Amino acid sequence: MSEDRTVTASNLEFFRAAILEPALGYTRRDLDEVESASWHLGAVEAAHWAALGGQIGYFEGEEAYQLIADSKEVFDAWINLVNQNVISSAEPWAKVVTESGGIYQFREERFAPDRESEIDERTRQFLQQTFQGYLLALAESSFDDDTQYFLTSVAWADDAEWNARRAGMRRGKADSVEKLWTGFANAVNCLEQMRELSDSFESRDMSLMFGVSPSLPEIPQPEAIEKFTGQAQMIVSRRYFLSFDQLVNRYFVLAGELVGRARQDTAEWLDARPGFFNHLCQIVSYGGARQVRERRAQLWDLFVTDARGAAKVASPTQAYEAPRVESHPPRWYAQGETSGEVG
Amino acid sequence: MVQLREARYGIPGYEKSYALLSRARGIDTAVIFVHGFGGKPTSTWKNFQGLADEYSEHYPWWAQADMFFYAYDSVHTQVRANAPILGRFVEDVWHGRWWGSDSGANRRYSSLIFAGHSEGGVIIRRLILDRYQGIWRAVRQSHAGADESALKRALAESLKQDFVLAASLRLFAPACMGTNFSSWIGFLTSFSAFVAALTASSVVRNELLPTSTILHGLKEGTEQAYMESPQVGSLFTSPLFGIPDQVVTSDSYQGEELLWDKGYDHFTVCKPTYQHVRPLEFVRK
Repeated sequence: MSEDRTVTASNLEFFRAAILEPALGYTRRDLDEVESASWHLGAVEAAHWAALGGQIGYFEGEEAYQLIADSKEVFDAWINLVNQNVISSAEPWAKVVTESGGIYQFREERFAPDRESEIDERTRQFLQQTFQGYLLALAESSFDDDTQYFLTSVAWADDAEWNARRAGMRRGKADSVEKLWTGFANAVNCLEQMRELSDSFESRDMSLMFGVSPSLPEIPQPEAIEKFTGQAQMIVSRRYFLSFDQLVNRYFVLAGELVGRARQDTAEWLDARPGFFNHLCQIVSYGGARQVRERRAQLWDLFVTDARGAAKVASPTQAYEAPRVESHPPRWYAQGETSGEVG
Repeated sequence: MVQLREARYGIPGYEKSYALLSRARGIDTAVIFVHGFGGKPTSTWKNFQGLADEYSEHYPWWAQADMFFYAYDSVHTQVRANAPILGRFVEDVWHGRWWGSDSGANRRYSSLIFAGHSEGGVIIRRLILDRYQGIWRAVRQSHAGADESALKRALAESLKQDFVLAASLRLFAPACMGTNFSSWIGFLTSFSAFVAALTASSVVRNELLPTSTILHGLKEGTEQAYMESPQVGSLFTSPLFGIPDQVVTSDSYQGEELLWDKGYDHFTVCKPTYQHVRPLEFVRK
């Protein structure tokens, strides 16, 4: 085996251990339909990462395709999501699978390098380094129980259920406030890392331009990096459902509730809070939230108005309004909210 | 151009720990990264994973080093219980036990570096002290009745042979002198650490307070050991603190020089970026 093939083979093994196996962790659990949906999204997301890795040569496209095609659970996950109307087979995110003559299969061409846009070696190496960073960030917190519990709760629970989970009023064996909080922190942490990795080219460019770090060679194809990071953003954001304003509201209410627990009557604390709020705005924007800039005043109100009343501080620009989160059954997700090409 | 490192995920027995193995020739060093309270192996050490290679022409020692990112329960498991678990991990890495049947098991290191952040620094120093005291007890037992000078010679010889005690310690904002849990502002710049602080076991939190008997005992024991055996490099170090750091007490053990990194807080001091390469320079033999 050539040195290159050895490298790509070990990369694929790393992907299998770090992403695919944890993403398929649900098959070993006893889950209801709603809990399963969040895990199924993770399994299909893993297929997208395999395809993207194949496209940039992080692993051999054919081998990545085979790994996914051989994972019956990934395919079943896709079928379940479509049947449950959680995703639409017409939406770009679902098109990692294709239908022909009534037969569904993974699209092998999605796993292969784009022959029309040749990527030079230096750019490719930067893409692969960034991609490995993505996988490590995802492996750290994206597919564990706590994160899935949070994602299921925030996206699928109606108001009564969501509030009960936040307040520790659910008595199910799997329910836990600590899980909800930790899962929330994981979700935020994951999006934060993905966003920073996606911005790393820009950061590299700036530091070289201003000579603030030791010199590094120029990366000649920034457009390839832009396309790649855009694809990654589309892949990761689907599971967060942040294109729905009501869910974005829940993020800010919960964040405000947690930050409110650390409340101190000091100027320092009051000054620290907007910094955290602004950071959260950037993270949810990366995760697919729309019009965050336009909704800042409303989100600020939700953030500073802890539902428990622990931190009632009115926004300087808008009168206090109790946080309201509309209930939303899971099936309205398949209304084609996402757009753009993935994978 | 070939990737400079091979990633191995899920080191058996240490869930979510992973290795980035150098593909260079002449690898002689294992660097073990130990995150802090509420931290995680990737996010705590963010960018080490990529920048160590990208800057390998400027900091060539990284090419000679395998990187191990250790994951452990920092919020529910006590310091004294965590130290021996880290010790087993270090043994497994050093002796290549985690490779299984892989040919890489032939890898042999001559140097060990611990990079610790916050509580990670406490766990590392506890491991070093446990190791020192264990050797001290073993030598006493095996030389029962020997005179003091013979005992000292035997102790020095045993200490010299221990690869953990020969390690270099590179500690970022270690929590060895206590953590400021009474104010949460410092935690707000790392949301996951902040939530960890909210959900952590009060036992672990108490162990990391400035008044903690665990921290006090570690300080006394390490200073005493260093007085007895100043040749043991891992008993003495110069920690690097950010300015400002609102999370830990920025101080260290007797005589240790404090290094400062202005403009970086408790959580960013250990993260290299294109604008902040100091962490890459700091972690070396």
